[in-house]
Amino acid sequence: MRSRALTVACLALPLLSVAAARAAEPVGETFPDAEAPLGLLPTSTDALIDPKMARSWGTLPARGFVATTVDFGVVYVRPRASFGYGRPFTQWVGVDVNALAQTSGLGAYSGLRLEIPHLDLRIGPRFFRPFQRTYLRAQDSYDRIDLEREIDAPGRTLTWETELDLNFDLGPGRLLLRGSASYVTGVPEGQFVFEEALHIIVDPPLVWRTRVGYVFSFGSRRQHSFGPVVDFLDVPKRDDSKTLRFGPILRMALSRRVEVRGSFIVTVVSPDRIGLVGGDFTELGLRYRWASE
Amino acid sequence: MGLSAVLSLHLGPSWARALASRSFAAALGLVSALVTAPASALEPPVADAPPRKQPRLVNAIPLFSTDAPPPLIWKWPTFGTADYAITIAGAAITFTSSIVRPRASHSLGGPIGIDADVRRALRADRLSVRYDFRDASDVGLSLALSWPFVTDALTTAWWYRGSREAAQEMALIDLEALAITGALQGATNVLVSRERPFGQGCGEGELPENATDCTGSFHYRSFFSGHSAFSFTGAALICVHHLENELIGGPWDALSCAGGYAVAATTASFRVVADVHYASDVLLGAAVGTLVGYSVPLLHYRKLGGASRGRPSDSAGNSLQLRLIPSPNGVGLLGIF
Repeated sequence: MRSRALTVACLALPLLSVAAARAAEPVGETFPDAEAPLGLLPTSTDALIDPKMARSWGTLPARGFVATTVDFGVVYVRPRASFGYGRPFTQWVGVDVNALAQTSGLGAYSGLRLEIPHLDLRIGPRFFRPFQRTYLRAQDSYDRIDLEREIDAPGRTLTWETELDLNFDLGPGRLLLRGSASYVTGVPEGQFVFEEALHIIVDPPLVWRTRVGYVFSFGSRRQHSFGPVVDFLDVPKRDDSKTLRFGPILRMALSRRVEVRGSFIVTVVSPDRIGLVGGDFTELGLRYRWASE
Repeated sequence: MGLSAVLSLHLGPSWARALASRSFAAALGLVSALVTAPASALEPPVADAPPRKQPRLVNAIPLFSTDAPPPLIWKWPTFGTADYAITIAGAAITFTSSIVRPRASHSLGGPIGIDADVRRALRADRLSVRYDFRDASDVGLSLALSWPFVTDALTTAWWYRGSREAAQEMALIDLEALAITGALQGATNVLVSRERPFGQGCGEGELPENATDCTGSFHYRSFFSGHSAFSFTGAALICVHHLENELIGGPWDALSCAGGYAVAATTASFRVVADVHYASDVLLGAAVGTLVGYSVPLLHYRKLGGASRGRPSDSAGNSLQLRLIPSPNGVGLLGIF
């Protein structure tokens, strides 16, 4: 009964938050008729504000939709397909399916997603198969060569992840908060593994992460942002495993489809000395989004 | 029309051997041959083209000027079918060569020329420090590759100068140049199969025998340096796009160009400090990268390969003209100086 009520509440949240989304539109901006034809294929218009769409994908009525997001950079590709109900990328509930290809290996993710203004929640399993990195022998601390040795079988993992993102307008920018918990499975008893999503060496199963950041907004519609974030990670089963990372993140929305994104977060405190591999170092990259209209 | 020269290049199984033994000379010919095809006759002259849609109003960057800059107008022919074919072929060769293991027999091994002296002078003493430099070179490569797309094409040409078309064309030219660099570097890598400098130390001292550096195909991919080739291609692309389009104006364009080369040079030298390349690997990489990084965009901007269509002041008499022509053994390159 309780789980049913929770499901109904989750589905209702995106619909209840319509007013909040409308209120977030730029002051004084007049929109053309929002009764644009809803189609499946991309339109040729790709301005920041699509005149037919009024305000990106976020203004038109809630509906069932298909959306894709492709992140790519040097050298990774992360295509994602989303199937949901609501307003794409703004307030919706549905399912995400991800593939991941990067120089260190291949992976895939699928899970449930709820996104409403100021909140983004996802939960699901992620599988990753590294090309070379193997499971690790248990030890107190690791250096880079420990990570770059073939000791055992490739370190395949199936990680159950849940992640909650919150963001609030505050002064000239936005306050960002993130909390995540990962439950790593598939690792042989007594061995550790390098978790490729969080970039940390884990004594399975649990690893936690929290992020606090503040980004300054700029641009004619405050569509760009840049600012520092701090990550704190902990692996409960590893002694003295607290890891602290710090660095800037960048987001520039060039159109409703194309964004420039970057993060340059390096490890400041860690029991391990594994270099930039241990940071959240997605350098300059692109995000391309599309959704059925 | 003064001096004419014809460089023939066999296409087929023999091209790979040519790359291995005379890689640089063959690379020059291949690059020119590949990029000349679209330049020769596929695009209609700009003068005959229908008038282009004017770009939208632009954004000002207070750092450079409080006034919005003039909209950027793409005056040159657009990316053609042959360009797409070259880019896809280059990307396919790059991808394939990253998977295929280098040949079992090695055409080149150990230091040559100044390699040993440079290695002695620059190589970091400790393995952990060498890994740090390797990571830093990855950051440099990433910046050098991302910058022409993300900063120059998308942010500057599109957002700052208001021309989505210019951004798209610049990004496609960048892709084509990088695909050609990747194809040349990847094919040479696999065919030459040179052992990396650290290779002789596998199983001794700090580097255990089971290190992935020693067990995988990475071990024999020393010649020539991909980091160096790609970084210098990126730097050359930054220079050409900035100087041809005057993207941000004044000294800033020249500074962007200099910055690109600073990043490329640092990236390349870090590969020697990290002991993953000899000096000869990074020098050849820099030469190939610079050559491809300049020749591809300049062919599109009609500084090479024929009369400028976008700028009437550039006459055919002042430019190097390159033509792809059929020959009995394959494809030939005609250069008119």
